[in-house]
Amino acid sequence: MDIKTETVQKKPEDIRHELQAGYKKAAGNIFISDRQGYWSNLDKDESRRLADISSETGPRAAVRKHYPQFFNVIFSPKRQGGLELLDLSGEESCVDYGCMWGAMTIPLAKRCGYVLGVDQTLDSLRFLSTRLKEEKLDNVDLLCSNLKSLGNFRNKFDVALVNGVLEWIPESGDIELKRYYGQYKPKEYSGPTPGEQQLAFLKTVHRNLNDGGRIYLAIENRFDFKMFLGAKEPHSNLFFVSFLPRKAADWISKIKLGRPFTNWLYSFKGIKKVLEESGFSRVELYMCFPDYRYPERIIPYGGSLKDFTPTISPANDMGRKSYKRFLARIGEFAIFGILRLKFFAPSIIAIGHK
Amino acid sequence: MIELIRNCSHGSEIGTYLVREGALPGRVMKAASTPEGIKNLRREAAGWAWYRKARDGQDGGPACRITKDKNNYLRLEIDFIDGMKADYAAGLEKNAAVIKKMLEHYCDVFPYYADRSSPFHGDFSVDNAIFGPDGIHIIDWEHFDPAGAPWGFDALYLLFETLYFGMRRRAKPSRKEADIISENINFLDAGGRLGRQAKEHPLKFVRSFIAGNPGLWSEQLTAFPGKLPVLAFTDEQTALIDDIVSSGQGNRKI
Repeated sequence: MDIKTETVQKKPEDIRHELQAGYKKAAGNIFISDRQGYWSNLDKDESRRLADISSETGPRAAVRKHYPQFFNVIFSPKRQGGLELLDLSGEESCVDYGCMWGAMTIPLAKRCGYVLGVDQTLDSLRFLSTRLKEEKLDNVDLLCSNLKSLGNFRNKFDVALVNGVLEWIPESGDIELKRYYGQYKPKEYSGPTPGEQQLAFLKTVHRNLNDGGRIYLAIENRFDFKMFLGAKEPHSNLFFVSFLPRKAADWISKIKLGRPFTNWLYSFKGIKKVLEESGFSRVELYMCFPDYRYPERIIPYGGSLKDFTPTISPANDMGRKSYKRFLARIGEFAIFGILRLKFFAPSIIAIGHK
Repeated sequence: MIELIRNCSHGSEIGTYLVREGALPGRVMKAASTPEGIKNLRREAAGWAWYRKARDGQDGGPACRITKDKNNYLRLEIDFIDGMKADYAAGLEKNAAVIKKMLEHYCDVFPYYADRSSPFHGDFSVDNAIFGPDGIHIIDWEHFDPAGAPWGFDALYLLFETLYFGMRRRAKPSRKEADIISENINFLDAGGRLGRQAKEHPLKFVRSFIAGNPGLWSEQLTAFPGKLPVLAFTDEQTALIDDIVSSGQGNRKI
């Protein structure tokens, strides 16, 4: 299985032309649509403050001083571990959907010719813009827009990154995660099901790729072994909802959170199916351990777990050890190192070819 | 088919990949896009170039090539080395034969310059030696410096790192461990190549050199304090171990 594909690489001038023609230009390299929104781990005031302080003190100093809990989320070099799967030539034009603070945008920009970072949160893009200046990267533009209404880029990109984004696509309205995650916030959803919305988004991603273009999609596995051993589903903070039937998950979520469960995850088979339904002709699957955000090991789904060693650290980012992590490590070794049950791998990376 | 096998481990900022050709491993790829990671990958490339040349009299060994160097991103590829690794965590006694071979290799390959300096590996560990049908290969040259350390530093580091893993929670080495270290230090000092401090207080010498030259390990000692296990010995343990070893007869002291 050779993952490299010959593509007709698109020139960034074409994309910049579309940006200038279709969107309003804000400060620096940021373009704005009339379909903005808000999604961030920080609340709105904090986001604005972070962007303001970053432009004065530099992004690293700002995060380290004011939001140290997000330092690794934003700057850890581990985040980029999966990008080598794309085997980039250095000339590609790429799009990073839901780029947020640029954890993947910046390493991607160093590996390719051009990146368009798209996110609905303007202050996240303002922060990312200061990061780009600090890194002296001039091959990146940023577009503030809702991902579900991005329609001007047909056949424009060689690579599309959808990193930890697909499961959030069905959400609606502004989301300040610290006031939303795992909290009782009644909400009604109308229109298409979460699955239909995710499929529609992936069809847009597919349409925006040129012939031979590729999608890099990273997402938690619906059947992540940890969720069977008592870990909470990472988007809702609820037990069991990822692997239960969708209706049962809805029922639990409505009782606990006052809203249906919309952060649909997929199994290996499920993600392949949805990508194929979106139009991707060939899909390669990879298992990620311990997760796709900070991968220690990425192994082709068809590959071997013969030499598998545990990847879950007994200590968290702050160096604090816990018996839960210790048990997860033992469980990880038993399930993958001994039983070799690939189906339960924690996260999935899928590379789909148009 | 690409497989991530190690990602920024022990405080490094380098991703390590195995590139397979069909079912067979073809080459090892390393990539970095941070200044720290790139600096260490350049050292790695320089280390492989030096190592290849240094062992040219034997077989030259695997090659390392920089395949991408652009826009603050560097990628290199190293020929795959077919062979076995020993278990570093098994300690000194079980790895005695492995250590002996590694030290012989060190003496063969690492030159002894007039000022007692020598090329520096920086992580000369049982875990970084591959034993193949064509002999031993030292890997992971990301701390390489062409004349960065006194001759023997890497070799002594190997002894004490392996001792550390074998001792675990014990306060002092066993008689057998002390004898292994003494014998190997005598072997290294053939012809008086070790300096006086390195011979008389070898563990203190290793720890002092690290403490005085943290820059050789870039930012890794800050990012991951457990990077060099010999730093975990207490001062009392260090004095005791040096006392035992420098006598050359560990069994009498224990």
